[in-house]
Amino acid sequence: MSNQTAGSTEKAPAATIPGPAPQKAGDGRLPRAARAAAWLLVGIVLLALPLLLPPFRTYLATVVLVYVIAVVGLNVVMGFSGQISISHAAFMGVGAYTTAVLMGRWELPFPLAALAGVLLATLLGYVVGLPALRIAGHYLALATLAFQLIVQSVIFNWESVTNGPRGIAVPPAVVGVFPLADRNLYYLVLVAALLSLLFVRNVVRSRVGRAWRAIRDKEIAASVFGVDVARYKTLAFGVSAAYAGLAGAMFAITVGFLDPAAFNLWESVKQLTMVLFGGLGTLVGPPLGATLLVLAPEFLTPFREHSLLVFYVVLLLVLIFLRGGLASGVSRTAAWVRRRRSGAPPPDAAVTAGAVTAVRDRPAPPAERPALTGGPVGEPMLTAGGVTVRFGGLIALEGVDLRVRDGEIKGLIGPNGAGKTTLFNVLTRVYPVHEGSVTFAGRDMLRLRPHQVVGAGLARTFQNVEMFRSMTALENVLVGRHHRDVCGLWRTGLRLPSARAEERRARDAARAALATLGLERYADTPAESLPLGVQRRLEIGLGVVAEPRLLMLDEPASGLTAGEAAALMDDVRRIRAAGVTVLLIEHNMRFVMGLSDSVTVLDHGRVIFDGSPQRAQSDPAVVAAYLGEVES
Amino acid sequence: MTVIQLLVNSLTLGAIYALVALGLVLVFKSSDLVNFGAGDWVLAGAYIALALLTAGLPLYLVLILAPLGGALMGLVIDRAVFRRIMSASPWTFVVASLAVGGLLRELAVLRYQSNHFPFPPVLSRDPVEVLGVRITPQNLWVLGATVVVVTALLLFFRYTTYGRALEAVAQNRVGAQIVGINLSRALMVTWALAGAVSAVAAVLIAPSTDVSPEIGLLLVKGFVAAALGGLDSLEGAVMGGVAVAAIETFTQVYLNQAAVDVVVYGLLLVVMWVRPAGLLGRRVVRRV
Amino acid sequence: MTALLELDRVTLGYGKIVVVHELSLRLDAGRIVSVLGPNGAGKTTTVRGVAGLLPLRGGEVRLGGKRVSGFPPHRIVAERLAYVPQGRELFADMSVRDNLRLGGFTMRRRDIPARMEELFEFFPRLRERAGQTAGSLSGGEQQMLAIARALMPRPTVLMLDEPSAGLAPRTMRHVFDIVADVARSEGAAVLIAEQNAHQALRVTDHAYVLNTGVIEASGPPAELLADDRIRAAYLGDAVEKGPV
Repeated sequence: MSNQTAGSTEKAPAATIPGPAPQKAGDGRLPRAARAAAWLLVGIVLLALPLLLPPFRTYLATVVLVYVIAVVGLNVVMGFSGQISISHAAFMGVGAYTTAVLMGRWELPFPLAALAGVLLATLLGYVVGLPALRIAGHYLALATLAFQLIVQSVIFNWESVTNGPRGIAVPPAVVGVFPLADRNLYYLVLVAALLSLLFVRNVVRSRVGRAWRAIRDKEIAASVFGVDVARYKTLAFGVSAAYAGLAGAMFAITVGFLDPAAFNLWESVKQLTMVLFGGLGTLVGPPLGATLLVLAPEFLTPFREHSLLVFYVVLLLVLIFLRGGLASGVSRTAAWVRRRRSGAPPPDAAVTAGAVTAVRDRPAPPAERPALTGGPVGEPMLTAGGVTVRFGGLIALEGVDLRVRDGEIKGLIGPNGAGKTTLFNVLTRVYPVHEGSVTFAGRDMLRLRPHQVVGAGLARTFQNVEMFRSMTALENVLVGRHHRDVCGLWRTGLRLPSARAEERRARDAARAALATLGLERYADTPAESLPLGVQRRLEIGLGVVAEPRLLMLDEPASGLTAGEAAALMDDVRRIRAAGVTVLLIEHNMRFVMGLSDSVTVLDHGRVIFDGSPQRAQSDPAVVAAYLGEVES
Repeated sequence: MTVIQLLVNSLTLGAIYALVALGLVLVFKSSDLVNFGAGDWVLAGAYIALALLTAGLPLYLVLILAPLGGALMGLVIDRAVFRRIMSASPWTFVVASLAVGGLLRELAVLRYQSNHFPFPPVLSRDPVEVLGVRITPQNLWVLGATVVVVTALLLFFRYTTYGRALEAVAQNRVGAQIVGINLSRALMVTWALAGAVSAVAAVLIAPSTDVSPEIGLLLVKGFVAAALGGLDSLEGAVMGGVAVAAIETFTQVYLNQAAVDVVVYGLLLVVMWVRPAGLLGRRVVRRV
Repeated sequence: MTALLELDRVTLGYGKIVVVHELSLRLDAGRIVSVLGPNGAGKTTTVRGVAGLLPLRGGEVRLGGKRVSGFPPHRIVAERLAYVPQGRELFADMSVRDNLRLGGFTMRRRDIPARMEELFEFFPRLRERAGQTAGSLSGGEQQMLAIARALMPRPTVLMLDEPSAGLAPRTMRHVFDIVADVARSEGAAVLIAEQNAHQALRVTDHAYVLNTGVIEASGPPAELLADDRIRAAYLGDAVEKGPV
């Protein structure tokens, strides 16, 4: 928590994060100076605590910190990556029992035993995360429940190792000449907790954290923009389990005796309560929740006597009345106080008003604009041949041929249900193909997995704007950069120079992309509160920042006013002028006909026309498809 | 013991698991939700029955009133909790149903501590021998009652308008609303029914398990039964229950007692991984 | 005369975004009225609001002079307004017959078989497929089933959202003809929200053109077709003064 106090004297984190992103992100943040002061205070208190408290209280504070480590991990999987896990106590049990058994029976030193515990928990975390690739929601919950019960029963029944229901004693740990107890132990766990929190904070604000949140908000869109969903989901489970394992190891030497009941299903629910009570998906929330709920039984009588009962009541009250947890309550209050003081209207109001009126006047065009004329149209870049797709008994696409030439703007039109979006989904590997081939820039696209498509140079937008709604406009655009960057968990978590440089470059590029589309002023606004017209442009920004060779737009003009649509036409021309080929689905005829060098017309899953827009307008088959006077 | 005797023994246990699974499937079938507290609903039903019994009511009246009490419990929980989180994210319900289950158990502990209370059987527990297999009349009663409950639920869902309507709610909430089904009432009926079925399960189970907080955990096996059969299949719940019980019995006899839970829960993990729709379930699992 | 269905300055939206702004329209008994406009114009939002699936932000909806805004969907059905949503929202794992039976959820049970027979006369394909699950039907058949399901309780107002979506032209035409046919023989008023203006105008008495949540024009089909500016919009063309 006090990572800033601990480390900020020599390398103030704020200075190294390029751009002012953290400042405006949530309106509920306190002013920077106030925050620094608050962290400083927390830091001093944490450091001074064991000097002020009697040993028993120090022990309690240590237990609090152990749970802080655990819930920070749980928050990774549930809060940031949006998966569900009701087996966190089991992972903690794996870490704790591994540590205890290795120290007790094999007389391994604590650091080695703890490391083994963390590794085993991490490994199991990956294994439990595997079903998340296929299932979600309650099925995933059932799978993690099964794991919880298995661990519970192994601990209970493998008596020769775990001592079963009688519990197991943990020998006192000594590192060098320092016995790990009381104050020493407190400081060890404090350092571990702070580093854990700092690591997660770094990861969450990086490319990796954005990938997790993108999956949470919109899994399919995340994968289309290059996030390897399978890898990041299992990674989240792995990280989460590693934290639980670490917490378990610390728990073992803190408590000195392991009771199997400390790791049962209800303990998992307790940890869930801590996370939800504090604030799911926030950095300070879960530690806060853990602190309050671990301490509560010590100071409140009803809590002590009916600890579980009160826990469940608190949990239900949070779910019903305080869905964002304490953290959101605090930030909402802070925002309210600030508004009162400055007399400004609530931030949402401005945007809402914009939805109806302000959006109609288009944002000022950027200063320098490339010529709007198209470059020379070259060789075929994307070739789909004989593509057939069936859903159950229905044929969605039948032998569709499509050719997009390098540098052109190609229109893909046809009545609703003709299969246009299906074709997009085929090209981006969201849907399987039953027959046919797709080659793009000489590569066989059908060999790629969905997240590899954007790396191959092909980006797309969605018909019903698929934004990552809880992320800011800037973060959204940054997801478009995901596939270009490489820094993973370790480099971002440790904030190595390579990761910082990469992040800086990515943010510069993302800001430039926002500027090109005239969206700078929305950079720190969450996508969900942007007007539709802005969301559309933002999604195109995501596509552009991915630096594709071919950009596919699915009905970009739908829901736009005449002015916005005209502005969008200019945008599309500029994108092409920058060397990007464009494939466009659109119902707005003037939009398509005005932009396209050639059009392909789909009807009922088949291509009925391919050629120039002028000829399309007079082609009898095309006219018939639109007018419905079919003769065939 | 012969294999046949083992199978017959596991049949009663299977019926017990099936009864829990039924409560689970019933809810999933009519609301597309999984009640992670289902085991504790049965536990609560058992304590309701116990309370009625200790109030001096005759057993037959307890058998009638307990399901009504269970239904009332379902209504209260729906009103107080589930209704208020209907629009929240899917994991919210998972967590809330766990919390409700835990709360029910802790309330029972608050009132009755962790004591074991015997519960009178309806029929004799002296085994009789039929064709070389020993079985007790009480177990036959449990089996028979389970069959009756399953059949009643099957008929309700398959042939009555309201049963079809409940299934319609699970299949397509918007569709259900636009044909004029009162969504709010349908969910109310679902939870009342779930409470009633849980209480029926409780009075059938209680004589062989006693009434104690531990039956909640025992009944987690009902989840495995339901998942194995497919969460939306009543028949599947029964077969899943019997299968889990048979696996359990045979593991006990031929492997060892300690391995039972690992094998059974391992099976749940594998089923969720390989075939989340269950072995008999029809519904396609949405990929997010 | 009071309109059968009347929208009075209705405002609707999702989250922080206003989609339909103070929209007013009316539908009289025995008429077929369409709401036209490009994707995203707010057509679906409007009909969802009328059906009670989306709370109104302002204004009110009246059915036969009675205020129904704020009613939950099932009470609006009870007021004899039927709704065929764009996604059809059928019970995919149930048979055609069960879908129709549920369509008659608000009817007396003994009236259901006869009514189903009546509708089978209009939709002979459905009779052939009565035992199949709804999910196994073709797009056109599913659309017919959705319409038939909505017609079960003899609504006075039938509201269709984008009935042409995903249909082959021939099927599309057939669907519109059946809707007109049924409406005429049963005396129901019909409100069609549709992007395919040509199809919709063929059968409607009166049309509203909706764009970005606001009615831009309204009138009988012939009048609208005579207006060049409007005609451009019918083709889904919202860019009137675009730099072409």
